[in-house]
Amino acid sequence: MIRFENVVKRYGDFEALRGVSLEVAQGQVVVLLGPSGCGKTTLLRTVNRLVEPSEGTVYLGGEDVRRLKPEELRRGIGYVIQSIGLFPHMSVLENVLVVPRLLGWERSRREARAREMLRLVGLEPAVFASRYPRELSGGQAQRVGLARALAADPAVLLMDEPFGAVDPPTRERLQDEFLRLQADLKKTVLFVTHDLEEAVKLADRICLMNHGKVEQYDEPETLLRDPKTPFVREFIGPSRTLLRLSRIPLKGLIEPLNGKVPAASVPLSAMAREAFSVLLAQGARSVAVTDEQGRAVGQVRLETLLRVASED
Amino acid sequence: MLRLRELNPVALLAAGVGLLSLALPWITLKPNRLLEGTGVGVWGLEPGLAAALAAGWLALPWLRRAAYPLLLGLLTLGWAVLAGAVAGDLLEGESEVARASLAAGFWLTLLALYSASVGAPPQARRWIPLTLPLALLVALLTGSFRPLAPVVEGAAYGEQFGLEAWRHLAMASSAVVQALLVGIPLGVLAARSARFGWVLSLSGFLQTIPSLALFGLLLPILAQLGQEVSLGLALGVIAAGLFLSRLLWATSPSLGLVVAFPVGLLALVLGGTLLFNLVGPEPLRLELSQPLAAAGVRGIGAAPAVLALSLYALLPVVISTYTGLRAVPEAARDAGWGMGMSSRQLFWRVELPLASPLILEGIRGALVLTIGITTVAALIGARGLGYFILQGVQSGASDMVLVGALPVIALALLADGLLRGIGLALRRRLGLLA
Ligand SMILES: Nc1ncnc2c1ncn2[C@@H]1O[C@H](COP(=O)(O)OP(=O)(O)OP(=O)(O)O)[C@@H](O)[C@H]1O
Ligand SMILES: [Mg+2]
Repeated sequence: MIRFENVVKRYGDFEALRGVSLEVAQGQVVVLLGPSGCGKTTLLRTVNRLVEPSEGTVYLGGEDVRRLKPEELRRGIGYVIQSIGLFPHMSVLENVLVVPRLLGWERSRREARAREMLRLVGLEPAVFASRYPRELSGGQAQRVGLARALAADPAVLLMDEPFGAVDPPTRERLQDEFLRLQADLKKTVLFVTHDLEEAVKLADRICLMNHGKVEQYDEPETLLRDPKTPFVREFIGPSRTLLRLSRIPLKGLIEPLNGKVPAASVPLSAMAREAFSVLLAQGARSVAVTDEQGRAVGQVRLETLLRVASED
Repeated sequence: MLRLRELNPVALLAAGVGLLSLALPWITLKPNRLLEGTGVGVWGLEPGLAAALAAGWLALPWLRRAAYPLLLGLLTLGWAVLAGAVAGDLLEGESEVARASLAAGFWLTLLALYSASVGAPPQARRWIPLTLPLALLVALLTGSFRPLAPVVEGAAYGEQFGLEAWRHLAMASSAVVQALLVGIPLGVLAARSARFGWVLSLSGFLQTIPSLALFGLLLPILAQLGQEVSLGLALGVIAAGLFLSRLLWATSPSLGLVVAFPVGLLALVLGGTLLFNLVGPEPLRLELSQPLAAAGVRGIGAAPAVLALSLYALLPVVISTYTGLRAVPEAARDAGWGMGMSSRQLFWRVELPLASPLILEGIRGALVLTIGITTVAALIGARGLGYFILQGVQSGASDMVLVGALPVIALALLADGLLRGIGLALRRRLGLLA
């Protein structure tokens, strides 16, 4: 869906991108990860031509983006900018309406769509539609930014640290909601973050960048299990074991209960990491797994978790 | 009950000044408008009113909420009524030419009223714009000011007073309209590209030219222009010049501006004169074949005055447009591009609305400034309220000066209040205000 071919971007003598080649498949979430200043935003913005590459080509749906009119290209791509960038003089509804209005949608259609989008991101239109950006919390503003990017139903979403400016619990909730939305919408998403944990949680594939180059482009499991360069190993650091557990569903690790039910429990839908945290916190050797009705259906033992975490 | 240290210090000071002023002479009785007179206090002639005023000042610092602006309104009314009553008492039995001029106590009370309105407690502040004008209006309608010398002098001019006020406003508003038409686009240019930074220095420089020098410079040029160029020709030159500069703009903006500059000046001369004639008291006669002088373009009069005022009003407009556009958050601009706005859409939908409150501040500044300095138009025979000031200065009659000066101040304050109100409404409408 999106293909970067040897993309170079120079600012004077400085090379912000030093030959990036990358392919993003349709319906995938690809996370651009890397330290501050490594060129994530720059790469992202070559897709909607807010940055024009000095060399190389970006293809969108097989077509060179330079062949499209910038305005039309951008109206077809959802963009959540790094600093949210809501228009302060427009109400929440008007903010969400911007792109449909630019596309000349008919009034009743675009208003219905905007309300639908607000509901989708968890903002009740009756409450929020007429508010102004300065009357929103950080998390609410991020949601409006997402609703605005989704309004014209673009196939491609560019998200630049969309959950950057909120506290950790809100951030986690927004991430969960993003995953729930993405399961339905199946957009092609380029997602920028410098938070490894966020990347591991959301990505189908992670593109780890450093100094304008791709260090490794792989599925999160592979990246964590098999770092290809010293930079990748160092970037992932000692938390890689824990992070790998957060990609493994609990379902496959369950063993039958043999008589006694452990005191601590985790839901069946959880990831292995959650069970691990509970075990550590309780100092227990096994934890019960409960189904939606709260019935214990099995258990997971500490040994099992340690074994899958260190597997290569 | 409030304790002393909780009292509003500004109101306290204002009350002190108000009380002190009651001990000073309020009215100077002069045998005629030029001779010296003797100052008279208020206690001898109107002890009841004076005592009421004193009581009011004593009570003011203790009040809060609606009671404060209400009392302040009453004090304002009392000030007008007391001055009128004392003047009326003094003039009784005097000859026609005797004048009741305003003395220290009158002005000092005005100062006290002003300070008290500025220093109003926060909960009371919003009612001040209602009670003070209302009090002044009641005082005007009941004729409290009528015996006072500036009013007597002004009334002696009869219709001419209204005519000059009209002319004054017509000149000032024509100049401001022109400054907006030129200044906003220039401000936009300066904000867009560093190459047009000189626009800011130019409009700053224009303000430093003394008005007399500017008039001297313009006099021969405009005189000749008025006699030798016909309206049709001038319009043709302007149209052709603007067209040419538009063409040049595409290849070289600087070259385009070089052509636009003299053409723009000519357009300013003509536009200002026509605008003034359109809204002013003089009837407008337009014939394409006649020389420009017939349409009002002459070496003296409204034409050079409006031109000079337009140039002076440029600075606040240009600066505020520039600052307003520069203050648009980069994130909003970036989001606009990212959503797929064209540069024109970005300007009209994002940049201009966000800059508009500041631009409006610039318009307010330009209007207040221009209403004030339009008084110099009288120097070149364009009249306006400055005419009375000039007459007063020439004949040494200070009350005549006030006939011109007081309405200028009132108009400026009125314009200021009006545009502040509009600015508030605009910001509320744009959601930039709670
Ligand atoms: N317009 C520009 N002119 C000059 N240098 C630029 C410009 N834009 C970006 N850069 C430089 O390019 C590099 C990459 O910037 P970029 O914004 O892509 O980083 P990033 O990975 O998104 O960082 P962050 O995580 O801090 O947002 C930085 O060193 C930055 O200073
Ligand atoms: Mg960035």
